Amino acid sequence: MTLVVATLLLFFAGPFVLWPLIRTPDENGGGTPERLGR
Amino acid sequence: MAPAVDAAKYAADLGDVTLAFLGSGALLAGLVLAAFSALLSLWAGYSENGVMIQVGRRAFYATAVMILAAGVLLETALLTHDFSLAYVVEHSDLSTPIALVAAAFYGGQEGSLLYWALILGILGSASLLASARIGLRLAAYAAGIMAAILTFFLVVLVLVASPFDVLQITPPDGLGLNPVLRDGGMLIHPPVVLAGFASFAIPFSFAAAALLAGRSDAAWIAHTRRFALVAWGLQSAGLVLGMWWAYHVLGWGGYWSWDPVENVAFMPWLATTAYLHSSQVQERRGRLRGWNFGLVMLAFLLVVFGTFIVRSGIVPSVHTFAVSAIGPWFFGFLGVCLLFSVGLLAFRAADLKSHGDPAPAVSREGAFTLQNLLLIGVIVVVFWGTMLPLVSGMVGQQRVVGPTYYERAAGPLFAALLALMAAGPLVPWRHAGAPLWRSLRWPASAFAFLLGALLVAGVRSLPALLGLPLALAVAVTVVYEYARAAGRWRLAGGGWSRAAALVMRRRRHYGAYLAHLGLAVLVLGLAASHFWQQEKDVTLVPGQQVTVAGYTVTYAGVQVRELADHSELVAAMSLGGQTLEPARATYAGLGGQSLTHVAISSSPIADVYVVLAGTNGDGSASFRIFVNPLVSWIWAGGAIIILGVLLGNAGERRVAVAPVAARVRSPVGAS
Repeated sequence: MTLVVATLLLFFAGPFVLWPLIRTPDENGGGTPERLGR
Repeated sequence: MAPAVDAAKYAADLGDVTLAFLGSGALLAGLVLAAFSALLSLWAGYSENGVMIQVGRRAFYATAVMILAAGVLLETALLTHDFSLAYVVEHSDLSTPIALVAAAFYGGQEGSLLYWALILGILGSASLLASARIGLRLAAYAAGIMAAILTFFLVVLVLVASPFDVLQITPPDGLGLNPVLRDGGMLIHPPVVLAGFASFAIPFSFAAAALLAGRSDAAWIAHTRRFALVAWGLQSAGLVLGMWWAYHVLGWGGYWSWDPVENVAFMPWLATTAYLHSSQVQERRGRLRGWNFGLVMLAFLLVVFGTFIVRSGIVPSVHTFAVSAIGPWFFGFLGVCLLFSVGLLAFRAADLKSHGDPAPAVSREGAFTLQNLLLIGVIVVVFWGTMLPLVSGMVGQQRVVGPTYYERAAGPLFAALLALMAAGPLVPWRHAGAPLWRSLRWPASAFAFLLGALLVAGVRSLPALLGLPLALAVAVTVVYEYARAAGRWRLAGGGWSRAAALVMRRRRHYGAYLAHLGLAVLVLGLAASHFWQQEKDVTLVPGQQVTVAGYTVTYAGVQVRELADHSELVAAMSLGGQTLEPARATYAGLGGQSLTHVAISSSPIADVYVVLAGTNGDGSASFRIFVNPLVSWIWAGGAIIILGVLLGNAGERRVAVAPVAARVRSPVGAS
């Protein structure tokens, strides 16, 4: 049962966590490289 | 009717079981997300992949939400008296007042670990949200390290100490909270001190991330310092509240006993105090870079060490509320953190060397360096005193040191620290000249004045003759600094808006001085109550009175009171027009455990502190009466320190970050 609940919760959290990968190229800023500060 | 009753019972049982499964499911999901966030953030930071850095960061936020959900479920189980959960049975019962039932969330081992993880999740998320200006790569490493720490806590919560373990048979009532914890202090001291402990992980993560990213500039200092100040403020509040609670509950007339658990909460506070000062040397002069990293890491290592000491029960302590089998897990975690920290510092040692001329001895940076060495000295003294029972037990007979050891070994260091607090703020950066000696005349005069007054009053104790005048000198230095600011304000034309602008422009400066003032007030209270406490054991018959240090107390008689979860034997006493009611509480439901309830008449001059030792068949009662001078100054000093922290941390000063080098690769998928 714990495993089922955990799997369901991960399923619900998935879209939020993976959103930067899911969103379309336009939403990604048209493929512009993101600048990384060092 | 019978089938309907069965159906209702079945539905109730299902609800209980679902709550337990939801809670353990949330923890398991949190563990998966934390491990995912740790691995992904570290990899994405290393490979400079902006999209994956965001995914790792979101996984950290989601972990925090899962822990929050588990926390809400545990609190629900406690408040609804769900005795199908072992944790609820072990730490609450039907007769416990509802506020204390809610506080049982952190009253036991498993709940306190969940609370710790929750604070780390919330503060960690806040630190990541506030990290926009320090660079994605550094923030990614910090997210990875914080997620790795959370992963450890969630592994322990899932595998070893789950608060959601279900009992085979649901009992009708719980075992209840330890009587010592059934006090209003339970609502405030443990959550603050546990939050303080948890928050040291934030500066540690950002320091380690800066080392991993090869960044030792002042930007990480500015970001880390804010969270170090939060941790320091929480720990300051936790320590003072712990003293207040011990004073009001334990009934021995004191507030600090150099117990191992007090010591392990004190040591990270000392290390962070050192860091908050030495970080200024790096900000102003670019020096002590490696030292600053070391201090932040030391504070966190001391927190993990302290947790290991408290939870494993390897050192005898009065704080053994939550001892269990998780000691070896924390020992392993301590080993990993130690190796990681030392390895990282060694790896970056070449980049951390300071350049330029050494700091002159008489300068602000020289004062900070000396202060840091003194604080490390105090940490060594306290660490050795805490570890001696363990070390001596390994090689032969176990030895325990008492307050005398700490007072003799750390006392001179504290005196030197107070002297530095009095003089240091007046010493300019780089070098000191003639103006220094002119400004030093004020604290020096205050020191000489109080020293003379104490000598005339017949005081001959060297610690008292040093401690009190030095604390006054610290307070005078702060007042002198504020007076100088007031002078500038008057020259500028006065006005409330200008005063507020002046304070806010240099809020770090004035916040720090306010904290100094609070510490001076606190030290005056500590010194006066330590050196001039008076104590008397008396047996009185009704109507009889006794005088201690000029305070006359009259005993009227005893009565028995029945309360929800215990009965009390209450003695009525009068002090002037005031009624004092020292009592002994007996908890019949907890095997007849007995606890003293102290009666305290508090004033700014002194506390009259009465403990009911016992009653006799002839109506007489035995008391221990203390008169503790200036104890309320300790609590006032603690409050002033917190005000100083709030002022120093109010708003955010924009951090000047050096331009980023163009050595940046494109993220995956970028054109």
